[in-house]
Amino acid sequence: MATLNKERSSRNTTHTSAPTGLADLQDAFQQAILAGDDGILDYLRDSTRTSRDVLLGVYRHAYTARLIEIVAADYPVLHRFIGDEAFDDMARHYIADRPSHQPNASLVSRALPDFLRQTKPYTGYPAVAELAEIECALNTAFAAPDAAVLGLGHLSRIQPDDWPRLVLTSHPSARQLVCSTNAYDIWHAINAEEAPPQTTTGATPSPLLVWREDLVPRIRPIAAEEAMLWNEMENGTTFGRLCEMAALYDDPDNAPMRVAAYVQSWITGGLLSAAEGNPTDVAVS
Amino acid sequence: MSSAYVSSESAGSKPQAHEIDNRPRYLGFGLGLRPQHYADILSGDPPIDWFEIISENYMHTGGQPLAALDQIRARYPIVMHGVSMSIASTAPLDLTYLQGLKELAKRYQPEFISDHLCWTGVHGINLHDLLPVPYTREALDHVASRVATVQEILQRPLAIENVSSYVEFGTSEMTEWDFIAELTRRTGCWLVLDVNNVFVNAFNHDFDGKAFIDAIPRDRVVQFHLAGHEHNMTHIIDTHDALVPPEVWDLYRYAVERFGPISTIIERDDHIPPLSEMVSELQIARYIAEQMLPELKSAQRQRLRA
Repeated sequence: MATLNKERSSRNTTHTSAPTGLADLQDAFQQAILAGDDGILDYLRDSTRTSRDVLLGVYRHAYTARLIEIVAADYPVLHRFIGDEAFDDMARHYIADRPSHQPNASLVSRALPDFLRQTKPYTGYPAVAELAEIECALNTAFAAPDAAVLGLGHLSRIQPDDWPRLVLTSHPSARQLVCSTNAYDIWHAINAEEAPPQTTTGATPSPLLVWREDLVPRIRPIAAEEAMLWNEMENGTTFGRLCEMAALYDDPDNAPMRVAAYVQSWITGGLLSAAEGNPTDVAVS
Repeated sequence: MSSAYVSSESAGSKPQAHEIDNRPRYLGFGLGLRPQHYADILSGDPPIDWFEIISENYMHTGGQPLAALDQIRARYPIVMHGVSMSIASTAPLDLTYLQGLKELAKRYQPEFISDHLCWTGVHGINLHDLLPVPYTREALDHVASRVATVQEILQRPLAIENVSSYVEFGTSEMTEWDFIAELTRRTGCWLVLDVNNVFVNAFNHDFDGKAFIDAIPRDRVVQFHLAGHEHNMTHIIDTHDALVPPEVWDLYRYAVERFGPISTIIERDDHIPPLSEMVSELQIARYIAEQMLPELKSAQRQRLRA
């Protein structure tokens, strides 16, 4: 890049005496877009109607405009919550900080929640990051890979003795989020075209389940017990051990019934893909 | 995939241009498939012969995009059109991407697979833009080598599209059309001729769009793209957000005269109108082609279905 970084003698003449390699040209072109470097201008021509600066500007402008448009399309609730100006600033900051490394433009915005959690000044506004997390989870659920959806009929074929060793597998679209703020209430209000509540930080975490049902992304708050059991289920814990945990967590008398009710709601919602016996687990309730 | 191509590959040598034949069939008049139109396509019976999909939108995904595409593919032929192959990049080819493309092609059996004569980034970054190539011998050697490699990986010829560009490199040693013509001669790749991009570049770089079209080998073009653009007086930007303008229709008429019946689509990526309006605009393309090629008229009305 030494040849490209040297000072240009004039922008009205084109440097052709030392042909520059394709790799160098592409490196300089990318730096012109990402970092505003002007070295590439030495290797471009003015057109008969305008200067090479203006023409290079088409690429510079298009890059930012296109990616901001994608981020805005993916985070409409966050956009409404923080307003046009703050959203535009945030999106520009994000695009500059997290350039895309994958081929699908529609995935460009997937790192926004992580960016907001880790980057000042957004670290001071956890509800903003959590609102982004909710929208990102819904977008992810929408296009998550397909997999089998477990039906209630499958459970009816499981023998009573096999239930304790049963291991459940969640659908690829399903995941649990845990918010420390009232981000879900804010999301819900804005989504319903209502005024959002003031941001608050809760005394206890607020778990949410996000998944896809009949091709439509869904979200619902869940109680602490269901959150714990979902988390353990995702880690491969058997149905028997889930019942033991429920019995230790709350009323032991109806623990298996509670766990069965959770599992039934997961199945009817389309949140599970498989239920298989695990012969290695010896825990039985 | 032609049998000549298979035997060539199994013999351990790269296919020569003349070996990659098996020209994709003529599909008629289609549209770039956009999610906004899924419901109207599936609930109606619009007079559209085929669809071109953006490959990346359906790779490594599931849910509604694939469910809709499954249904559409059951009724229409499709072509897979990519935007991230980055065939002219000096970065290594993304083999994971190519594998994903191959898997998508296996599932949807497209008529052919296309991408652009451009690069999208280096050093692992994707700028999600179709960036310009200097028309140098070095770049031609590089792109031709990459096209040949991709064709071997995908086990089928690629179709390469000319892109709109706003800058010219001082280092260029040949015209855009000579570069493209030589690329297809060397690799046997097919060409997607974007008529709007020819018009845009002709204005931006001061050449005669008809000269571009005249220089493209008559037997290599398998698809036309049509689209609208934004005229800024000193330069035109390929925005795909407007109707195909009269000047582009004129150039399309000229291209039809040279290349004959070529599968054609209209692309719209912004300010996307209702499907019925796209169908009406497509009817203009159909009318012009039928006007230029009267033999199309009778066959044209019979919709192709896979």
